[in-house]
Amino acid sequence: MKKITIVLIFALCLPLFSCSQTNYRNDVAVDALAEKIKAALPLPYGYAEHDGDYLIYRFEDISEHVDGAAVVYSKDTKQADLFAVFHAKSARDVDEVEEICLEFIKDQRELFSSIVEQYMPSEESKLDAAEVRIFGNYAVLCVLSPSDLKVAFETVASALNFSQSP
Amino acid sequence: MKILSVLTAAAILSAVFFFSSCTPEPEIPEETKPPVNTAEAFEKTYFLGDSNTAHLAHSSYKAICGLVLPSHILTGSGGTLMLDLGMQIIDPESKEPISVSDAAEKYNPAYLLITLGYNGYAFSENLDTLFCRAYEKLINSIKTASPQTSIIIQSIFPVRAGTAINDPDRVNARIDTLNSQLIKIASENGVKYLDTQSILRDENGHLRAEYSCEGSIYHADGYHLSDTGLLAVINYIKSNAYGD
Repeated sequence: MKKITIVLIFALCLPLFSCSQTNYRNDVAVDALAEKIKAALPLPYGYAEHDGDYLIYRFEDISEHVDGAAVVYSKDTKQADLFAVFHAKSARDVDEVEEICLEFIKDQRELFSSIVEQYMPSEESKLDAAEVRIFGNYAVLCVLSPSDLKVAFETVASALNFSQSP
Repeated sequence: MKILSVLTAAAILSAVFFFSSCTPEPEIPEETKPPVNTAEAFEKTYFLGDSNTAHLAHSSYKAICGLVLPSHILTGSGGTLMLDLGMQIIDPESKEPISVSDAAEKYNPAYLLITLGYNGYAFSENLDTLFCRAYEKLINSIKTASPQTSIIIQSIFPVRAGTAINDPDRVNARIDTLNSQLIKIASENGVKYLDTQSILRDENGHLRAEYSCEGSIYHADGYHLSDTGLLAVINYIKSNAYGD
């Protein structure tokens, strides 16, 4: 009897474990997500978007793993602000996308290191805080200040929440 | 009868005019092309680059004051610009951000002299592919936006020893490597390479002391040029950038 009770309790608890993993929408366009981040984090000079060449040379081989990408950066050359939203082709591709994004962060830190040290010390915290976070099949890369980074990730999490309209 | 004569004369005249206007202008042989008026060419030149380019039109550099128009300076906000696959600069007219290709299309300069590559690349040995690709993309985007523009790639300038720059020999060796790549890029893309760095170096290959900015702490960093250095650059451009 005791054994059966334990098994039953365990069985009842199983759905709780599965609920701890958040499910995200998989049908929101990356451009729409990028627009939401832009709206949440307005910049005086605004943002520009990198083209396909940038993906090829800065995010090597990522196109094999994604079916949507938006890489957005500050138009102000004295700001290191950049974020990218990727939609992986499948759940299996997400890990690869995350790896490529981490490599990008490493390169970006190297590229900016001298210029930030000499002329843009305020931007150092953005490169230090740079992070990639996964939301289901989406990977969101942010080179933003810690507070902006929090806003960006919250914006994406909210937009990919099932209770939100796409 | 009179009318007929008038009409015939008019027809002959228009035929003569038609054929004379269709005759192609005789081509001037290469050797006899008129020499480029360097003063005029310099006045028509736009300058794209980082802070050393921005300083060409900065009023605090007395030796060169007025030689370059601020409206011909294409740089990033505050003179900060790093070569990348996508670059925004500040439109000298509107003071708003604009892409380099949009600026090239807007101003359609006769000459565009590019001095980029120090920021970011002189201190890193792992970004050569990006350096080459970004430069080539820049050249191609300008060619597309403003086909009449003669593009000139200027060498990256050396740094001075005894300043805040760690290991200037290594940085200058790195700049040499980047300049070698610029020579190749210029040759492959049919644009001119201007070897200005050659006149800025001392016997040890460093930036000559008199060409190095000694003014404010911000600029006395071993990379920024003094007004004497900027004047030397301008004179070199005038003597070597135009014509064959």
